[in-house]
Amino acid sequence: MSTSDRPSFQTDRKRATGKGSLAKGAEHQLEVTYSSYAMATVVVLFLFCVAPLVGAPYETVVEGLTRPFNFVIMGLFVVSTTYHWRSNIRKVFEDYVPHGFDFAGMIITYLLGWFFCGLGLFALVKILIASMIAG
Amino acid sequence: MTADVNRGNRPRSPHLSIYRPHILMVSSILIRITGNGSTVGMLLVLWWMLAAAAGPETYAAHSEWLFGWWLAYIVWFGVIWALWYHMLGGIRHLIWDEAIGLELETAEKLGWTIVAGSVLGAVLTSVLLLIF
Repeated sequence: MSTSDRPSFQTDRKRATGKGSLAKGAEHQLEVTYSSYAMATVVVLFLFCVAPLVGAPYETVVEGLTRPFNFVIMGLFVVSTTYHWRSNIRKVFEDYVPHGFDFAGMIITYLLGWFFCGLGLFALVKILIASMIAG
Repeated sequence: MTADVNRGNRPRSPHLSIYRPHILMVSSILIRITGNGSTVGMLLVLWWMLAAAAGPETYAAHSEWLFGWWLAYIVWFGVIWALWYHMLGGIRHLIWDEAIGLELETAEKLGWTIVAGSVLGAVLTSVLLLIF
Protein backbone atom coordinates (compact mmCIF):
# COMPACT_ATOMS: atom_id res chain seq x y z
CA MET A 1 0.00 0.00 0.00
CA SER A 2 1.61 3.22 -1.15
CA THR A 3 1.59 6.39 0.95
CA SER A 4 -0.89 8.11 -1.37
CA ASP A 5 -3.40 5.26 -0.98
CA ARG A 6 -3.60 5.60 2.79
CA PRO A 7 -6.59 7.51 4.23
CA SER A 8 -5.54 10.94 5.48
CA PHE A 9 -6.43 11.92 9.01
CA GLN A 10 -5.23 15.48 8.44
CA THR A 11 -7.65 18.34 7.89
CA ASP A 12 -7.86 20.13 4.54
CA ARG A 13 -6.25 23.17 6.15
CA LYS A 14 -3.26 21.15 7.40
CA ARG A 15 -2.75 19.56 3.96
CA ALA A 16 -2.70 23.02 2.36
CA THR A 17 -0.03 24.31 4.78
CA GLY A 18 3.22 25.09 3.00
CA LYS A 19 1.68 24.97 -0.50
CA GLY A 20 1.21 27.78 -3.00
CA SER A 21 3.64 30.20 -4.62
CA LEU A 22 4.49 31.81 -1.28
CA ALA A 23 4.56 28.47 0.56
CA LYS A 24 2.01 29.90 2.97
CA GLY A 25 -0.90 27.54 2.29
CA ALA A 26 -4.33 28.91 3.08
CA GLU A 27 -3.08 31.19 5.85
CA HIS A 28 -3.49 34.46 3.97
CA GLN A 29 -6.90 33.48 2.59
CA LEU A 30 -8.08 32.66 6.13
CA GLU A 31 -6.70 35.98 7.45
CA VAL A 32 -8.71 37.86 4.84
CA THR A 33 -11.84 35.74 5.38
CA TYR A 34 -11.89 36.10 9.18
CA SER A 35 -11.24 39.84 9.03
CA SER A 36 -13.99 40.15 6.36
CA TYR A 37 -16.53 38.59 8.74
CA ALA A 38 -15.40 41.02 11.47
CA MET A 39 -15.56 43.99 9.09
CA ALA A 40 -19.05 43.10 7.79
CA THR A 41 -20.35 43.47 11.35
CA VAL A 42 -18.19 46.31 12.64
CA VAL A 43 -18.57 48.61 9.60
CA VAL A 44 -22.39 48.59 9.85
CA LEU A 45 -22.23 49.36 13.58
CA PHE A 46 -19.65 52.08 12.90
CA LEU A 47 -21.78 53.71 10.17
CA PHE A 48 -24.90 53.91 12.34
CA CYS A 49 -23.44 54.39 15.86
CA VAL A 50 -20.12 56.25 15.55
CA ALA A 51 -20.17 57.90 12.10
CA PRO A 52 -22.77 60.52 13.22
CA LEU A 53 -20.09 61.82 15.60
CA VAL A 54 -17.65 62.54 12.75
CA GLY A 55 -17.74 66.31 12.23
CA ALA A 56 -19.80 66.98 15.37
CA PRO A 57 -18.75 69.66 17.92
CA TYR A 58 -15.84 68.71 20.19
CA GLU A 59 -17.93 68.15 23.35
CA THR A 60 -20.35 65.88 21.45
CA VAL A 61 -17.45 63.86 20.00
CA VAL A 62 -15.81 63.33 23.41
CA GLU A 63 -19.11 62.50 25.08
CA GLY A 64 -20.08 60.12 22.26
CA LEU A 65 -16.75 58.30 21.92
CA THR A 66 -16.44 57.68 25.65
CA ARG A 67 -19.77 55.86 25.85
CA PRO A 68 -18.84 52.20 26.49
CA PHE A 69 -20.62 50.79 23.42
CA ASN A 70 -19.23 53.42 21.01
CA PHE A 71 -15.77 53.10 22.59
CA VAL A 72 -15.71 49.34 21.96
CA ILE A 73 -17.10 49.69 18.41
CA MET A 74 -14.53 52.38 17.57
CA GLY A 75 -11.71 50.24 18.99
CA LEU A 76 -12.85 47.19 17.03
CA PHE A 77 -13.22 49.36 13.91
CA VAL A 78 -9.62 50.58 14.22
CA VAL A 79 -8.20 47.08 14.83
CA SER A 80 -10.24 45.24 12.18
CA THR A 81 -9.80 47.97 9.54
CA THR A 82 -6.02 48.17 9.87
CA TYR A 83 -5.69 44.36 10.03
CA HIS A 84 -7.91 43.88 6.96
CA TRP A 85 -6.05 46.66 5.15
CA ARG A 86 -2.58 45.20 5.65
CA SER A 87 -3.83 41.71 4.66
CA ASN A 88 -5.46 42.89 1.46
CA ILE A 89 -2.94 45.48 0.29
CA ARG A 90 -0.55 42.53 -0.10
CA LYS A 91 -2.68 41.21 -2.98
CA VAL A 92 -2.45 44.58 -4.71
CA PHE A 93 1.35 44.49 -4.46
CA GLU A 94 1.48 40.88 -5.69
CA ASP A 95 -0.73 41.62 -8.70
CA TYR A 96 0.44 45.03 -9.89
CA VAL A 97 3.90 45.83 -8.54
CA PRO A 98 7.06 44.45 -10.23
CA HIS A 99 8.99 41.76 -8.38
CA GLY A 100 11.38 43.15 -5.79
CA PHE A 101 9.41 46.33 -5.16
CA ASP A 102 6.37 44.26 -4.15
CA PHE A 103 8.26 42.64 -1.26
CA ALA A 104 9.48 46.03 -0.01
CA GLY A 105 5.95 47.42 -0.34
CA MET A 106 4.49 44.51 1.61
CA ILE A 107 6.94 45.03 4.49
CA ILE A 108 6.26 48.78 4.59
CA THR A 109 2.47 48.33 4.57
CA TYR A 110 2.71 45.58 7.21
CA LEU A 111 4.54 48.00 9.52
CA LEU A 112 2.20 50.87 8.57
CA GLY A 113 -0.80 48.67 9.44
CA TRP A 114 0.48 48.21 12.99
CA PHE A 115 1.41 51.91 13.18
CA PHE A 116 -2.08 53.09 12.14
CA CYS A 117 -3.68 50.61 14.53
CA GLY A 118 -1.55 51.87 17.42
CA LEU A 119 -2.21 55.49 16.48
CA GLY A 120 -5.99 54.99 16.40
CA LEU A 121 -6.07 53.15 19.74
CA PHE A 122 -3.76 55.74 21.28
CA ALA A 123 -6.10 58.57 20.20
CA LEU A 124 -9.13 56.70 21.52
CA VAL A 125 -7.55 56.03 24.93
CA LYS A 126 -6.26 59.63 25.14
CA ILE A 127 -9.80 60.95 24.53
CA LEU A 128 -11.09 58.65 27.30
CA ILE A 129 -8.40 59.74 29.78
CA ALA A 130 -8.92 63.45 28.96
CA SER A 131 -12.65 62.99 29.48
CA MET A 132 -12.10 61.26 32.85
CA ILE A 133 -9.71 64.00 34.04
CA ALA A 134 -12.18 66.71 32.94
CA GLY A 135 -14.72 64.89 35.09
CA MET B 1 9.07 22.66 1.34
CA THR B 2 9.17 25.64 -0.99
CA ALA B 3 7.24 25.97 -4.23
CA ASP B 4 9.20 25.99 -7.51
CA VAL B 5 7.43 29.06 -8.85
CA ASN B 6 9.38 31.99 -10.27
CA ARG B 7 7.37 34.88 -8.92
CA GLY B 8 9.32 37.37 -10.98
CA ASN B 9 7.93 36.04 -14.26
CA ARG B 10 4.30 35.79 -13.22
CA PRO B 11 1.83 37.71 -15.40
CA ARG B 12 0.29 40.79 -13.82
CA SER B 13 -3.45 41.32 -13.37
CA PRO B 14 -5.99 42.25 -14.62
CA HIS B 15 -5.11 42.20 -18.35
CA LEU B 16 -7.32 45.19 -19.09
CA SER B 17 -6.25 45.28 -22.73
CA ILE B 18 -7.18 41.63 -23.32
CA TYR B 19 -10.66 41.10 -21.89
CA ARG B 20 -13.76 43.12 -22.76
CA PRO B 21 -15.30 44.66 -19.62
CA HIS B 22 -18.40 42.98 -18.18
CA ILE B 23 -20.23 43.35 -14.85
CA LEU B 24 -18.30 40.62 -13.01
CA MET B 25 -14.94 42.00 -14.11
CA VAL B 26 -15.84 45.64 -13.43
CA SER B 27 -17.45 44.88 -10.05
CA SER B 28 -14.36 42.93 -9.03
CA ILE B 29 -11.99 45.73 -10.09
CA LEU B 30 -14.22 48.21 -8.22
CA ILE B 31 -13.69 46.22 -5.02
CA ARG B 32 -9.97 46.99 -5.23
CA ILE B 33 -10.58 50.63 -6.13
CA THR B 34 -13.06 51.05 -3.26
CA GLY B 35 -10.59 49.26 -0.99
CA ASN B 36 -8.16 52.08 -1.72
CA GLY B 37 -10.99 54.59 -1.24
CA SER B 38 -11.72 53.04 2.14
CA THR B 39 -8.03 53.44 2.99
CA VAL B 40 -8.46 57.18 2.43
CA GLY B 41 -11.50 57.01 4.73
CA MET B 42 -9.52 55.13 7.38
CA LEU B 43 -6.81 57.83 7.29
CA LEU B 44 -9.40 60.62 7.51
CA VAL B 45 -11.06 58.97 10.52
CA LEU B 46 -7.62 58.61 12.14
CA TRP B 47 -6.94 62.30 11.46
CA TRP B 48 -10.31 63.22 13.03
CA MET B 49 -9.63 61.06 16.12
CA LEU B 50 -6.12 62.44 16.61
CA ALA B 51 -7.46 66.00 16.32
CA ALA B 52 -10.09 65.21 18.96
CA ALA B 53 -7.42 63.64 21.19
CA ALA B 54 -5.28 66.78 20.91
CA GLY B 55 -7.92 69.04 22.50
CA PRO B 56 -10.71 71.48 21.58
CA GLU B 57 -8.56 74.16 19.88
CA THR B 58 -6.74 71.68 17.65
CA TYR B 59 -10.04 69.92 16.90
CA ALA B 60 -11.67 73.18 15.83
CA ALA B 61 -8.74 74.06 13.55
CA HIS B 62 -8.62 70.62 11.90
CA SER B 63 -12.41 70.45 11.55
CA GLU B 64 -12.18 73.34 9.10
CA TRP B 65 -9.99 71.17 6.86
CA LEU B 66 -11.94 67.98 7.38
CA PHE B 67 -15.54 69.24 7.16
CA GLY B 68 -15.60 72.97 6.54
CA TRP B 69 -15.66 73.25 2.74
CA TRP B 70 -17.48 71.85 -0.31
CA LEU B 71 -14.76 69.41 -1.39
CA ALA B 72 -14.92 67.72 2.02
CA TYR B 73 -18.57 66.77 1.41
CA ILE B 74 -17.66 65.14 -1.91
CA VAL B 75 -14.73 63.26 -0.36
CA TRP B 76 -16.79 62.02 2.61
CA PHE B 77 -19.62 60.91 0.30
CA GLY B 78 -17.04 59.06 -1.81
CA VAL B 79 -15.62 57.40 1.29
CA ILE B 80 -19.09 56.32 2.48
CA TRP B 81 -19.90 54.89 -0.97
CA ALA B 82 -16.53 53.11 -1.08
CA LEU B 83 -17.18 51.60 2.37
CA TRP B 84 -20.63 50.36 1.32
CA TYR B 85 -19.38 48.97 -1.99
CA HIS B 86 -16.34 47.29 -0.46
CA MET B 87 -18.46 45.77 2.32
CA LEU B 88 -21.17 44.44 -0.04
CA GLY B 89 -18.49 43.18 -2.44
CA GLY B 90 -16.76 41.46 0.48
CA ILE B 91 -20.02 39.80 1.55
CA ARG B 92 -20.45 38.57 -2.05
CA HIS B 93 -16.95 37.11 -1.84
CA LEU B 94 -17.82 35.33 1.41
CA ILE B 95 -20.95 33.90 -0.26
CA TRP B 96 -18.86 32.67 -3.19
CA ASP B 97 -16.38 31.11 -0.76
CA GLU B 98 -19.24 28.83 0.31
CA ALA B 99 -19.70 27.84 -3.37
CA ILE B 100 -23.08 29.60 -3.51
CA GLY B 101 -24.19 31.90 -6.35
CA LEU B 102 -21.46 30.91 -8.77
CA GLU B 103 -23.82 30.32 -11.72
CA LEU B 104 -23.24 33.00 -14.35
CA GLU B 105 -26.73 34.48 -14.18
CA THR B 106 -26.78 34.60 -10.36
CA ALA B 107 -23.24 36.01 -10.24
CA GLU B 108 -24.17 38.79 -12.67
CA LYS B 109 -27.27 39.62 -10.62
CA LEU B 110 -25.07 39.80 -7.50
CA GLY B 111 -22.75 42.19 -9.37
CA TRP B 112 -25.60 44.58 -10.20
CA THR B 113 -26.99 44.18 -6.66
CA ILE B 114 -23.80 45.43 -5.03
CA VAL B 115 -23.62 48.38 -7.44
CA ALA B 116 -27.24 49.40 -6.71
CA GLY B 117 -27.00 48.54 -3.00
CA SER B 118 -23.87 50.60 -2.49
CA VAL B 119 -25.37 53.70 -4.13
CA LEU B 120 -28.58 53.32 -2.11
CA GLY B 121 -26.66 52.70 1.11
CA ALA B 122 -24.35 55.67 0.54
CA VAL B 123 -27.23 58.06 -0.22
CA LEU B 124 -29.27 56.85 2.78
CA THR B 125 -26.29 57.06 5.16
CA SER B 126 -25.32 60.52 3.91
CA VAL B 127 -28.88 61.81 4.29
CA LEU B 128 -29.09 60.36 7.82
CA LEU B 129 -25.73 61.89 8.75
CA LEU B 130 -26.78 65.30 7.39
CA ILE B 131 -30.11 65.16 9.30
CA PHE B 132 -28.65 63.99 12.63
